[in-house]
Amino acid sequence: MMQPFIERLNKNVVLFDGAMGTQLINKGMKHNDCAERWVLDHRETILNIHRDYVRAGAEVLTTDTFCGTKFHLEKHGLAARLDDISREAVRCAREAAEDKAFVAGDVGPSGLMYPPMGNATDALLEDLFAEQIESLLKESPDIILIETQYDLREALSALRSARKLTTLPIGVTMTYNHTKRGFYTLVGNSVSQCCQAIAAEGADFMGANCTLTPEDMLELAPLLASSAELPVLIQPNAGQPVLGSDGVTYKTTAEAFAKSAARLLVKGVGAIGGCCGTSPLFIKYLRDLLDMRTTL
Amino acid sequence: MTSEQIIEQTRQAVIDGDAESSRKLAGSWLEMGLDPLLLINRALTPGIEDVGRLWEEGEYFLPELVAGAEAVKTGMQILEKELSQMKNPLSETRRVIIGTIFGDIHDIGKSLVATLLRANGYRVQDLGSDVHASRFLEAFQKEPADLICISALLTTTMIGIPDVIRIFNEHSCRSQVKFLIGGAPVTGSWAETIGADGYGADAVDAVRTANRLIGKIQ
Repeated sequence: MMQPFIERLNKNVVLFDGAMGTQLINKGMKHNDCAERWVLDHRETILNIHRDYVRAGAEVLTTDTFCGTKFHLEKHGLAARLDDISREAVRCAREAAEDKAFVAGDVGPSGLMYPPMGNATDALLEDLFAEQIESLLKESPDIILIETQYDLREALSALRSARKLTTLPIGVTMTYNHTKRGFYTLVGNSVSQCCQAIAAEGADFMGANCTLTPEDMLELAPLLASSAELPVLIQPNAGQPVLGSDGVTYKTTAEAFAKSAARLLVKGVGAIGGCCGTSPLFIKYLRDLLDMRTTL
Repeated sequence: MTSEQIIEQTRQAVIDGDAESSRKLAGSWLEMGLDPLLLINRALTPGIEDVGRLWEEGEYFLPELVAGAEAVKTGMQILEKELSQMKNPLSETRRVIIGTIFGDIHDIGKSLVATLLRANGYRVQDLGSDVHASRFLEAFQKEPADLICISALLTTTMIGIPDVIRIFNEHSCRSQVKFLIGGAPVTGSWAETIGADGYGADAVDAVRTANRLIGKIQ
């Protein structure tokens, strides 16, 4: 029997898994395909990716539901399969996790934007997110992870939806750009603004993922740790993507990634993992790093 | 209000992202019988350049950039009615075909580049999002363009961009047009690798690259 996630998070640094999308590209997913469809059509592949992450030492598996809102799925003619996809994705991650890892129901950006960029409203997004989260919850994940959010307002809509539906731990990670004036989201939310609002809305942990490499995040990690009153999760990208004959690859090696990531583990950072371009090998290096810290 | 005041206020309306003021001021300009091109060149274009500068300095973010572009678009819509009755110098400017790559529904970045290019005097055909390689070719064959801009927001969709360049090669059109690509996962070195002519790190940079690649006709 695993201890509850929050108990585990408060003990020492938790290791999340790495990328799903770039793993799927390397396994032959075409650019116009829907990654979420793979839990239905190529379940074994998703299961194996999750299992590889468990073998590498990940303690949290993230479901293949990043673009899983109805808005995204209907572009692929899959709106009617939202419930099937969400539920199968959780079941698949659970099967791979066994009793060795937690399962995080993944919620990415809705695909809609607020004015002046789009016509989204809080009510519209809350409904969109609620539909996806409700389906994920039917298969009892351990965590809801709202991630890669570039607009605090949208992240809060997702968080409100999740909070209304469950008492499970909820994490929210924003994606920040490094501007001349510091770290801001695409729409201009500062780190402290995000941390305060996300905590006030009832998240259990928060942080940053995607866009930036571990090196880029060296200044961000202490800023997050000092601004957040909750444990911080950090999931950097593996550098910038390079497309070759063997598909999309990332320049940063797993070893270099882990070396930089070690410097991200400042006080307050309670969890780490990888985003785009990372693989089970990256997670293995992080595992070794964390195990070494524990034994010191 | 003097013409100088209208110019000053229109430029400020763009900086403030105030589309309503931009529309009214453009209307006042035409009522005074003034040359619409003058307001474009002295207020709308410098205004959006100011917005771009503020974006690059990290003062402005996406909402301010989009609102500024909207203010330009609204002003242009009023002025273009008058321009269409004149010999339209804009029709002699460079032509651009733009779209988000097949499989990718993200529209915002591409639309922003389209608006900024228009504000900078380019004639832009926006094919929308989820555009197949063959549709870029069809649009080009129907009416040739100087530049083709392609955007992708996901690592899973960016790999469709080389298909567009390849299809132009196969139809012997490649040498007649420049390719400018952009979007979150796209980098300058990747643009080079796939044989694109240029890369825009963001919407403002895309316009700068377009100016460099195909030259801006004043």
